[in-house]
Order: sequence, then structure tokens, then C-alpha cells
Amino acid sequence: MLQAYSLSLLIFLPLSAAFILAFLPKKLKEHFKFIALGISLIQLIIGVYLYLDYQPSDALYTIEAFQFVERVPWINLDLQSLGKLSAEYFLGVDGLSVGLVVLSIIILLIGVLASWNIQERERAYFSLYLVLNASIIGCFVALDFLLFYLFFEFMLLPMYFLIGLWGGPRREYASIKFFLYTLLGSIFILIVMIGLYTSVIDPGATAIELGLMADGQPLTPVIIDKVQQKLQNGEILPEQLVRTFNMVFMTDSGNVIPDSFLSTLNPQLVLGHSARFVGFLLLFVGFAIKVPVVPFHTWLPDAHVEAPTPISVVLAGILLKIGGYGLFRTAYLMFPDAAVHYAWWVGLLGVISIIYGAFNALASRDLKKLIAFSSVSHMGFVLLGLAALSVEGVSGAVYQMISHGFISAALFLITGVIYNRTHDRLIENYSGLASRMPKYTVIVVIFFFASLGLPGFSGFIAEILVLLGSFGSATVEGINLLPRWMAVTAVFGLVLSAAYYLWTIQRMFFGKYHVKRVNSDRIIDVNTREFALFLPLIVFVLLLGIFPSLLLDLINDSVVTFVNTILKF
Amino acid sequence: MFIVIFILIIPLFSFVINALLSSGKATFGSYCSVALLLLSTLGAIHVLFFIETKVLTSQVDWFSVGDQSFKVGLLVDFQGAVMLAVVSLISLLVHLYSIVYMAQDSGYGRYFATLSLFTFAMNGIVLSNNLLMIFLFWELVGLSSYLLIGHWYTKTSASEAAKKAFIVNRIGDAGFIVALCIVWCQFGSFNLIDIQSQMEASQIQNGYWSSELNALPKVWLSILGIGFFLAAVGKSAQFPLQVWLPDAMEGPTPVSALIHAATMVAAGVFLMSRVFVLLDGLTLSIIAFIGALTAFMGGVAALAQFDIKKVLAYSTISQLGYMLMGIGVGAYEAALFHLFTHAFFKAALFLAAGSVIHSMHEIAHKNHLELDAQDMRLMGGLKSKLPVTFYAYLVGSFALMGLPLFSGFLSKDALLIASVNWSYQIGNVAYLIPSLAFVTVLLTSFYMVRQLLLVFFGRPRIEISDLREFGWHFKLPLIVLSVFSLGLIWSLNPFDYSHSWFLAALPGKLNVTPEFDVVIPDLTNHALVGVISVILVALGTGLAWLKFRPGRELMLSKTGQFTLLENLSLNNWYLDVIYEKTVLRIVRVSTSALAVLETRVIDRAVNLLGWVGVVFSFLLRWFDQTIVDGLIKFSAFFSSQVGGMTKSFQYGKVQSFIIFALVSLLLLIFLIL
Repeated sequence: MLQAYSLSLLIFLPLSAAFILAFLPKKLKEHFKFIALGISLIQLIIGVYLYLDYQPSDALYTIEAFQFVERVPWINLDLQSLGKLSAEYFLGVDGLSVGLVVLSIIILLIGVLASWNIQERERAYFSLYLVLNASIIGCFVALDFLLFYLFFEFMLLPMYFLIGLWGGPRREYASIKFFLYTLLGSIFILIVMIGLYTSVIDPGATAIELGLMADGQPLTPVIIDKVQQKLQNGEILPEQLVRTFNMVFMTDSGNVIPDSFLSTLNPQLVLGHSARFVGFLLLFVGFAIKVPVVPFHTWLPDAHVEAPTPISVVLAGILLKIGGYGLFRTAYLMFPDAAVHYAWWVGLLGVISIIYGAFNALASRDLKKLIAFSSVSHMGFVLLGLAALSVEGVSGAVYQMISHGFISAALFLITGVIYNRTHDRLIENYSGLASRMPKYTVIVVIFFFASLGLPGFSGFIAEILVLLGSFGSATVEGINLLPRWMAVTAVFGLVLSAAYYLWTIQRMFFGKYHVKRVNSDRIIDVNTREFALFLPLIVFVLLLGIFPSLLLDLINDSVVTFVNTILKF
Repeated sequence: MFIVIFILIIPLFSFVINALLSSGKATFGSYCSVALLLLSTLGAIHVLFFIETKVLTSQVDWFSVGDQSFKVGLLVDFQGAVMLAVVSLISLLVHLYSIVYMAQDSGYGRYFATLSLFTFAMNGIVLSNNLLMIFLFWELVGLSSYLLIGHWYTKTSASEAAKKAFIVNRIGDAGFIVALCIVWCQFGSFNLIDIQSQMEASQIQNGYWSSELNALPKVWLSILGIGFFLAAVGKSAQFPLQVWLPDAMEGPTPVSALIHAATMVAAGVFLMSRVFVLLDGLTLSIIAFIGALTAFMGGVAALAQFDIKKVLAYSTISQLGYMLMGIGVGAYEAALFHLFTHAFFKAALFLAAGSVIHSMHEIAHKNHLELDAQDMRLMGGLKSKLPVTFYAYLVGSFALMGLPLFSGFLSKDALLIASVNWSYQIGNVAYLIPSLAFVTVLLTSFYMVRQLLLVFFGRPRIEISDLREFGWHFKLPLIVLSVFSLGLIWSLNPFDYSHSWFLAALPGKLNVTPEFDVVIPDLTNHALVGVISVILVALGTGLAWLKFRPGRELMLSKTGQFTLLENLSLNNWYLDVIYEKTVLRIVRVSTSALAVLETRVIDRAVNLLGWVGVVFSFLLRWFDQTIVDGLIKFSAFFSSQVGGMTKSFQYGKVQSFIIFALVSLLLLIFLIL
């Protein structure tokens, strides 16, 4: 039961709870948060089950490579000469996504706890939060592009309102900016999705159409081979082609129709460039906005600064990772040729993000903005590791997504603590807080050092793997994909991150106690509830720093398959 | 092997105990630490006697990536065992000493916790069998150093010094990381023994440095060595990164003794000895030159200081320069030898200085004086009041100056001879290196004699009649450290280092691939070098005596004019000023330039784009409403619906955007299909 429907449960529990919340009487508003908490706790149990029950598998990219698979036909349209349209309700996880699903569950739970003091429009807040919850998980488990896109778009809506209604003073500007940026990215993704749809067939359904197998029979590699051979030889009539949104089939270049728009052999030209390369670039930009990669990042500092604390936590902890995940799952796996072709540029953008984000963090006077820019800098490592296409680099990139999820969530909670008390986040207005808030200071020091990559914390493992992997990046035709200076330059980002974090600690927490423009009585140390939010994060960050195999064993086989699939092309 | 793991873990227990105990029971925690460290010291001594020429190593998998596995493992060889014993013993003594020194401090428990954490991390560096683990503990050592320098964090100078130390060290660590990348790429392993054998098998051909696994352009071999050296330059405070160490004296004095004199700063030298096989001729020459230069610069900077700890700090920089020079001239065993002898006599000097400072505080407190307890101009005549401190200081100074019969003579002699022999083999500019080293001998004796005269001799400059020395917590560490500063402990013939048990036990010459242009000097003794250095010591002592002999205290002006040399020395060659004007200015300018780029260019462009989009969508709507008949009704209806929905959200522009987006979407879909 749980094995068969766990992923659907993860999505539909919060969705139905959101629906129920919308109709509950208003006098129960004190209890809305308990519903959200309850849902998150059930999700946590399912998440633990997923983590324990997931079996690493090095199967190549076929349906078998995924676990907890649910696959039901969803939309089937006969488009006559355009062939048949089929979209499926297709869920599943592999090593690239299982960690992110568990991360999302944990961060969303912490987000609920951080929302405990929401005092206005509780019903709307928690309903939207639950919708956000469902669509985030949906993004990570959907294996049908249409379904993925649906969740991806759906996420925008609650996010827009959560920032726009419960945010800071400039929330309208920030939320509209966030909305426009992401929508722009979505359009790019949509274009490529449609392009891919027109170019890829479902070998199973096509086999049935061709009479190679009966309906309901399992799809074997032999049949796939047969269909693919017929397809490449042009022996299949147009109306027999069953087109698909299935992301697994899109990954296999054998399923690409030879004379289609995104054909691998003779792709059509768009503005003088191969359509496949253009497709890769559009997907790249679409997801790079989400990551965010410099220069597509300017929504992030604004959105973060204006968003309420729990939403910043979810935004930094998970939403950015959907961008990274999208690059893995779509741009890289579906356009491996372009991924190799553009590796240099992707790596360059990664390095630019690392350095540029770090410098801007150094220039920030607002604590939250500083942390937002540090996110830009740290997500640059994801891009750099991915561009390297070496096993170390890609493992490091996945590791960095999870590690940054925990660390950045904690960092935004940290700014929440001080903002909650004083409604002032300007670093220069504080000094010597360590004397008044010793526990808080210890927490800040732990997470600042975790974020600057101190060994013993998860960030170190991620960053060292990315650096090792990008220095010795994959070789294609005897040439490294990334020049070695990129790794060397990225190391410089580590020096800068030490600089901005330590400078902040020194200015805000050390020295004589002194606050400006703030009532000093409000400066009190963290309470038990706040401490309880940080404690699990400290545990996770340390566990992942000291025992990396907890995560690496889960993702290892999938990463190897990922790298081989792309380099084999 | 079990006992080694035990020694490594014990300080971690001590850390946990002190971190968890409430402040009421902090004294109990500190005695626990001393007891635990006593255990680990005994264990380390046991290991030292047991190890002799054996090498113990074992490892287990830590995690795997692809088919590569990363390991954790330990390696105990002779040099590691000696280092372990030295670290444990000095750490034990410093813990003991701190019980009294820090007794009145509000952060007592925190202090002991961090001190134990440091010991754990330092043991980790010594015992690790692979470079990744060394780096891990290397950073942990940096963290504990940061926390201890900033122990009195309410003091601005202390918190700035802590920050400076960590960031400057991070620059060095960047070199370490680059070196790790090269090692991983070239050997696919971080294991020290693996690397050594693979390095010996690697070759240079046609401008490529090739191992079994990979081939890189030859220049990466030098970058590898320079990367490790940069790490050592940071940690061991060498030119041009030595600026953090004098500031680090803001930490409590026992910390300066343990971390910023005896052990942590020497970790750079230890690292270089561990990766010695990876260094090529070019790198070694650079190391030798930087080392000798730093020795000289540190010596000059120590000449005119008035702060008792600053003199010792610059002297530490100078002595570390000697050690790295030793690495550079290929005599890594001599460098390690100096590391060990220096650890004891410098710890003795710092702890004795701590005793002096504590006494000065006592005086100030009793007489309600506001004074700088570290200013040597206020001291004088302390010899009779603090006898144990004085003798410890005397022994430590003699060892530092390199007087025969003291430990420093042996190790310094070995270094000087190695540098002389090396420069014979190389010729030309290489003579500069031993020359700088010899001049530094003169400088060293000058500033140490000056310090002895100012602090302990002459007439007291403030009222000290009721001053008494502190109890056994202070005296025992001082006595033990002084004993270890005697030459006899290290060599049965105190005039000849080649009889030293340490050098005798080290394995013979390393195999060096000729293509790497490494010159390994001959270590045969030259009596002449010893004689010259003794003459230089006598000369320095004489000069110091002439200038600072008792009765000439009046020459010390507090605010008076300084000569050019004195200014240069007092300001440490104006390095901080130079960095402020160059490096820091560049960072500041680029920071603000990028911030401007962010807000004025990129963000403004985005806003402009958004604005254009909105205008365009308005135009489009106008176009639709007035011209395209069929679309009018639909779009008007739709926009009013959406507008109604979003009006309550205080932003009216969404509606137009949605139309724009919708229309463009439809267009695109039609285009593609």
C-alpha cells in the first residue's frame, strides 16, 4: 500500500488538507496551523520510509531505474496526422530526486513551525502553504513533463501571494518581480516542452500501435529496440507515432523522431543554430532563473528580503533546488549533446555566480540580503559541479543542493530571529549581541561556519567534491570540459565567504553591546521554540558533514548513470 | 593502533565535558581536562618509545563517489610520534597553567573547551594518513584558533584580530585546496604513502608531468608545491601573510604559548615535511628564499617592540622562517628538529611572559593603577621577585639565541649548515639565503638580551615590593619546559647535532627523481658554522648590553622620536599599511563596483525590461481593443476578470502582464505546432 502510493500520498495529503482548510469555520482559526503541522508530520513518516526503503540502483535510464513508481494514463488524444498525444500521471524517484524529496519534507515541516506566530489571515496563509507544499513535492516526483510543468507553474501562485500578502514593506514590488521572472522562465520551458513533445515517441504505445505487442504486456528492451530501429529507419507511419511527455522516454535519444524538430541527426535550425542547442539554452535559462544563476538572479535578493521568514526558508531551502533539479532532469538528460557543447559556458556562469554573489554579499548592509547573495554564491557550486560532468562534480552538485537546503534554511531562520524582535536587519545597527544573546550567537557561529565550508559540516563535503570534480572535469575527445582555472577561481569564492561571514559576526556579535534605533528590551535570547527549530538543522548539517555516505550511498549509482548517459552520447 | 585512536579522541572528550558543564562546575571540568590530557600524554610517550623505526597505519572507508572511495585513516611514524608527544605534553602543561591564569575569567569553561578542541584538531593533523583529513583538522585548528584569539570578544581589538587570523589563514587554505585538487587529479588518492610511491614513479616528459593515472602540464607540479606552501605560509605566518600572528597576541597568553608559538603555527612546517616528496626544485627554492626572508623580517620587527608578547610573536615568525628555510634547502629533518626544540623553549618563554604579565596585572590591581601590563618599559628588576620565571626565561632565551649547551644551538646549527651546503651546491644568488640566516642569529640575540635586560634587570620602574610568584600551577610547567630546552635532552653531545637521537632515528635520505631538480644538501657538520654563529650571538648580546644595560633605562622614551629602523620594526615593515592601501583597497573598490553593477545596471535593466513589457502590453491591449475586432471582447472580459481578482492585491499591473503572457504563449504554441 505505502510502497505503491507513497508519492501520491505526499502530494494529495497537503492538497486535500488545503481544500478542507478553505471550508472550515473561521472560529477554528487557532487550529489551522495544527492541521498543517499534522500533514507535515505524516509526510515526514512517509519521507523516512522513502529514505529507508529506497534501493540504490544503477539501471540505465528506463522506467526500472525509478522506484515508488506510479504510472496511470492521464490524457490520450488522437490528433490524426499529428499522431497521438499521451500524457501520463507518472511519479517516481531516483537517486537524484529522493534526497530532495526528503529535504523538502523536512524544510516544509520547519517552515510550518516557523509560521507558528502568523496572526493574520491564517486560513489563507496555511491553505496557500499546503498548496505550495504539494506542488513542490509534485515537482520532484513527477516524471511526465506535462505533469512536472503543471506543478512547476502551480508553485508560482501560492508563492506570489505568500510574499505579496505577508511580506515586508516592498512586498508588491518583490512579489511581482518574482512572478514575472519565473513566468518568463516558464515560457521558455514550455516552448521546449512542446518541442520535445513533437519530437519524441512512446516506444511502448507505438509498439502496440504497430502490433509488436499486445496492450497490457510489459515493455521489454527487445521491443524498445525494435521500435527504435523501425523509427530510425523511417518505417513507421506518422499516424502510428504515439508522442509522449514521458521524461524517461525523452531521455533516450533512440526515441527521437529522425525528421522531427529536435532530431539528433539533422536537427532543424533556429536562427541559424541547431534546434537542440537552442532547446538546451531555453531550458537552461528557464531553470537558471530559479537557481538563480547570475545574471538571472535579481529577483532573489528582493524576494528574500521582503518575504516572511518561513517563506524565505522554503524559498532558499527548496525552491532554488527545483531550478537545479530541473537542469539535471531535463536540460542535461534530454540534451546531452548540448550539455557537453555548452559545458564551458555553464561552468563559467557557475564561477561568475560564486564570485559575484560573494562580492555582493560583502557589500550588503542588510543581513537578509547578505544571506540571499550568499545563496547565489553557493548555488554557483551546483552549476560548476554539474558543468564538470565528472562523478565527483555531479555528486558534489547534488550534495550541495541538499546541504545548502539545510544551511540556508537555518540562515534565514537566523535573520528571522533578529527581525522578529527588532524589525531591523541593518548589520551596522548592532554590536556586541553575544553578551546579550549567547545562545543565539552560538547558533549563528555554527551556521556561518557551516556555510563558509568548515570541515565537519555538510557544505565542506559538497564544495570539496565540486572543486575536485571541476578541476578534473570529464574529458571529451581528450579535452577537459572545463579549464582548470575555473576550479582555482572558485576556490577564491571560499576566501570571500569567510570574509563576509566573519566580518558580520565581528560587527554584530562581538565588541561592546550596543544597538541603534531599537528598544534594547527587545533583545532577548532565543526561546525554546526557536531553539527547537535550529536543533534538527544542526544535527542534519553535522551528520551530513561527518557521515557523507548517509546521502552519497543513496545518490551514487544514479550519479554514475547520469554521467555515463550524458557522456555516452 | 587502539592506543593511538585513544590519544586522538581523549581531548575530544575533554572538549565535550567542558562544553556541557555549567559554569558553576567549570573548575571541575578544567581538572578533568588536565587528568585526561595527562593520560593522552602518557599514551603518546608510550607510542614514542614503542614506535622507533616502525610505521603504523590503517584506514577504513569514509564515503565513496563513483568507484573512488575516500578513506579515514591514521599514520604513526617516528616524526609523527615525536610531534604527538610534544603537542600532548605542552598542551597538558598549558591546561595546568591556565587553571590559575584564567581563574577569574567569565568564559572559563568556554576557554577550556576550545583549548581541548584545539588539542584534538592538532593531534588529528599529526596522526592523519591522508591529505583530505589533514585539511579537515587543519581547518578545525583554524576554528579553535579563531575562537581563542577572540576569547575576549567584547574587546574590539581581540575580535578584529580573530577575524584577521581566520581570513588570512583562509587565503593559505585556498592554496591547500588547489593542491588537493591537483593531487586527486594526478594520483586519485590522498593517502600519504600512496602518493609518495606514485610520485616516485611519476616522470616528466615533453613538458608533461605524468603519473600512472594522468598527465598534467609540468607547471602544475610547481603549482602543487606552491599551493601547499601557501597553506604553510598562512598557518606558519610567513611573508607575505605573517601579519595575523602579532595581532593574535590579543588572545590569552597560555593560548599564545600553545597555539601561536609551539604547535599550531608549526603545523605548516609539519605539513611541508609530510608532502616533501611532492616539491620540485623551483618550489623548494621559493620556500628557502621566503623562509630566510621571513626569518630576517621577523628578527628586524622584534628589535624595537615594547610589548613583551609582541617581541616573542615576531621571534616566532622569525624562527618559523628558519624552519621553512630548512624545508626549502632540502633538510626537512633539520626543520622538524628545530620545530621540536623551538616548541619547548618558545612555550617556556611565553608562559614565563604570562607569569610576568599576570604579576603586572596584580600590581596594577593592588595599587589601583591604569597600566599596560605588557609594556616592557614599565617592568624591570623582576629577577629577584619572580625567580622561577626568570630562570625559565633565561633558559628559553639562551636556547632561542642558540647558545651551546642549549637545545636551540643544535637545531639551528643543523639548519645553518644545511643552508650553507645547499648554497654551495647551487651557487650565485643562493648565498643570500644563508647570509640572511646568519644575520638573523645576530638580530635574535640582540632582541632577546634587550628583553631580558628590560624585564628582569635594572631597577624596578614601578612599585613591586609586595610581589610574589604564583604557585605550582605556574612553576611546574615552566620547570618542565626549561628542562626540555637543555641541549642534553636532545643530544648526548650537546655540541654536535648529528648525535641527536631524533636525527639518528629518522629514515635515511629520500628517493628523489632527478627530473624534479631537487638538491638535497649534505648534513656533515662544519665546526666553522657553529663558531660563526656563537660569535654573532656574542656580538648581538654586546650591542644589546651597550644600549640597554641597567642604568640606561632613561633612554627609553615613551613618546619620543624613533629612528627609521625603529619605526620600521615597530610597524612590522609597514605591511599592514601596505595591505590596507593595496589589497584591501582593491577588494573594497571591486565590492562597491559590483554592488553598483548589481543595483544600477542589472537590476535597472530588469526593471526597464519589465516596464517595456508593461507598456508593450498596454499597447497591445489598445491595439486589440481598437483594431482586432474578434479579440476585443475576449481580452476585455478576461482582463476585467483578472483585474478584479488582483486589484485587491494592490497591484494593477498584473492583469496587463497576464494578457501579454497569454497572448505570447498562444502565439508561440501556434508557431511551434
